[in-house]
Amino acid sequence: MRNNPTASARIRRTVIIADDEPSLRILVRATVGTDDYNVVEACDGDEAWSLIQEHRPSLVLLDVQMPGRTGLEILHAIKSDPNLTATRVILLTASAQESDIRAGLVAGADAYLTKPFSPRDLLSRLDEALEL
Amino acid sequence: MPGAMYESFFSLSVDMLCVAGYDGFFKHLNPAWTQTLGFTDAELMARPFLDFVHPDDRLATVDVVEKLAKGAKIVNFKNRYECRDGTYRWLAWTAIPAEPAGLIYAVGRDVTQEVRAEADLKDANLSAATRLALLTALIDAIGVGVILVDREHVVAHWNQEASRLTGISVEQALGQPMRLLGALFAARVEDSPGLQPHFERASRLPAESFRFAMTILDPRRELEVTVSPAVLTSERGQVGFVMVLHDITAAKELDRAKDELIAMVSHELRTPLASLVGFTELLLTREFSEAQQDQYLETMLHEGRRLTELINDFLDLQRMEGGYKGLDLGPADLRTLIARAVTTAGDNPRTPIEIDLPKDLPLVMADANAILQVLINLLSNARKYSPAGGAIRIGASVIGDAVEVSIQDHGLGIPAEALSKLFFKFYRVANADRRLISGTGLGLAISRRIIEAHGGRVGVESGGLGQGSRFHFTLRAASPGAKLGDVLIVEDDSGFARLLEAELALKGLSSVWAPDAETADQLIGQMAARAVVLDLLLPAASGEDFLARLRASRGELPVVVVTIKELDATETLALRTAGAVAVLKKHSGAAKEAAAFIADALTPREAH
Repeated sequence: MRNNPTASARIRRTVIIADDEPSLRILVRATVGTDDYNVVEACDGDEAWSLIQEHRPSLVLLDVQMPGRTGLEILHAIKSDPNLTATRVILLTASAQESDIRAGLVAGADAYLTKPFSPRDLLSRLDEALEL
Repeated sequence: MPGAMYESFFSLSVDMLCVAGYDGFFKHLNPAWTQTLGFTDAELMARPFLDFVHPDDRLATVDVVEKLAKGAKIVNFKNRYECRDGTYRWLAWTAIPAEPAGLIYAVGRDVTQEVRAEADLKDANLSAATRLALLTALIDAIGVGVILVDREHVVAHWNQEASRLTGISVEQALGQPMRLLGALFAARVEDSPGLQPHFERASRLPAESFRFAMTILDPRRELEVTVSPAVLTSERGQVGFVMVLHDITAAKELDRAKDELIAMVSHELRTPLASLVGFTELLLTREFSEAQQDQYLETMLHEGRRLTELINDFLDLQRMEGGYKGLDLGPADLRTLIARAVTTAGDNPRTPIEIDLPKDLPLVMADANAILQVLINLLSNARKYSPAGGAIRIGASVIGDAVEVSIQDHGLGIPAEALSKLFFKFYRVANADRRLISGTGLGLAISRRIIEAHGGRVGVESGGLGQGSRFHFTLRAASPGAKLGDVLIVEDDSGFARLLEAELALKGLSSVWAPDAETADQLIGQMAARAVVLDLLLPAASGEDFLARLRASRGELPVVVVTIKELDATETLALRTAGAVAVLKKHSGAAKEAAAFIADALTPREAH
């Protein structure tokens, strides 16, 4: 799992966290840990999309509500981009509405976390999505 | 026929038979007269017959006699004859002139029952029509749509509200068979196929009432439809149904707005909570360097404060949306309020605040604390959205009987499309240049509520991104009437000021409240106050300084000092020397005491 020797020996995977809340980006960075992952931060939807195209990350954590492109729009863009078939997506949202969660999963998100979330849950979703 | 036989027939008749002369007297009567009217033949023949006719019918009766005299062959008419008991009976007559001339033969029949029945029927018909007219007027005036389908299964009534709500006119609807009701609505409703079962159910005349919802398109209206069976009598059963249309557009809108607000609040609360919960769990379960721990704890503190601010703002807003009953209006000096707001905002050399007010700024009618909150909010926004610095200027100008206050900055500015939404709650300009600036999105919504509760207006102008912005609001100038009173109350605690006002009113004294010494300075010059109640701890200039100025200008004015300040003997003496007639400690009974001292000081003294 997390601290097995093969994981540290592996090339660090890139994870992009896109959220307009600086505190949340710090939280994700602290949770995911920079030993195992290369964490790249995006402050809004547009920045997130250009960083995704540039890095082709293993996983993207997308805030649903952010300025510029929304998390769902980016999710759709990832799913329709043949270069990004390997990119896993976890949606983060501060809205606990059933309909939003369904829309996200229908659009092909690998997991969905409602704020506030437990860092431990974030890690298990991440491991599941990356099939670690 | 021989005379005796005539006489027998004459006596036998149940109809009233008579022979009358043109002299106005009966000549011969049969027994039916006595049986019907109760008078004897002798009585009836003693007076002219017109005496027995109902006064209202006498003219008509005279007409008949004249017609016969002029040669009419036969006349039919009705009149009322008096009975012995004083009542009248309706008689229907057939009269012919007798041969030889000079006499009238007449046959009368008691038709009282028939006439009454006819009149009753007429009355009954009239009142049914009246009732129907009243009911129709009622149904038309009522604020709900009413549709009536009658026993012929056609639309019998379609009131004005029904045509207003549905857009289907009375002419289009009246007389339509109920089976076509669904078709009548088809083009005007949302999801017409989905509604058809309801219309079909209605046209099958259901025995129980039922409800369904209907959305009318263009203009969009949400209706709640109640179908109730119309049952005439138990024997005749159901004869139709009534459809009542309730406009629930506004209620639905309110519901939607509430849901939206709850979703927004929950979103706004969850965001800072995510940091608080997340970092707490991390710090409890993992090892971090001291620098990391500090960063996380600082973030938590920041987010905790943000949560507090959000809850406070939100409660403020809720309180104000309930009509903001807590507004304590009184004359207030804007110059002082602005100075206090600038002091609260603090110094920042990168965004210095310049105050530029005209000399003769009138007092405004305001709740000093609420307006202070607005000024602080606008100043803090001006700073927050000027990340590159730049001077902030507060100005004011008199416009008619109002004062406009403006706050101009040289900051990020506002894109044109955002200007109209800026004062909505939770609205924040989503532009990359301000994504690092935090805020609850409630400050301007609160400011707008406060100003509107004052009867003023808020507004904003901006040349666009990077062009800075200018926020402004208006307040009414204090009217001369608002500045008249026997006693000037100088007190920053509005609750205590209101208590003083009430106690003074009980002594027959009117008062004007000044929330600070500066307002009081202006008021004292404008009003004919005869006494002052003074607090010492005031927001800007102190009560002691005000007292000194007052002594210099209005030496004779009685002043009662009420303060929470702990005063020692020297300080109390100093106040007494400066002219205070009493120095009271602020407690629950202090307002009453102060009012008593003031009333006493204002009572003209006889020589003791």
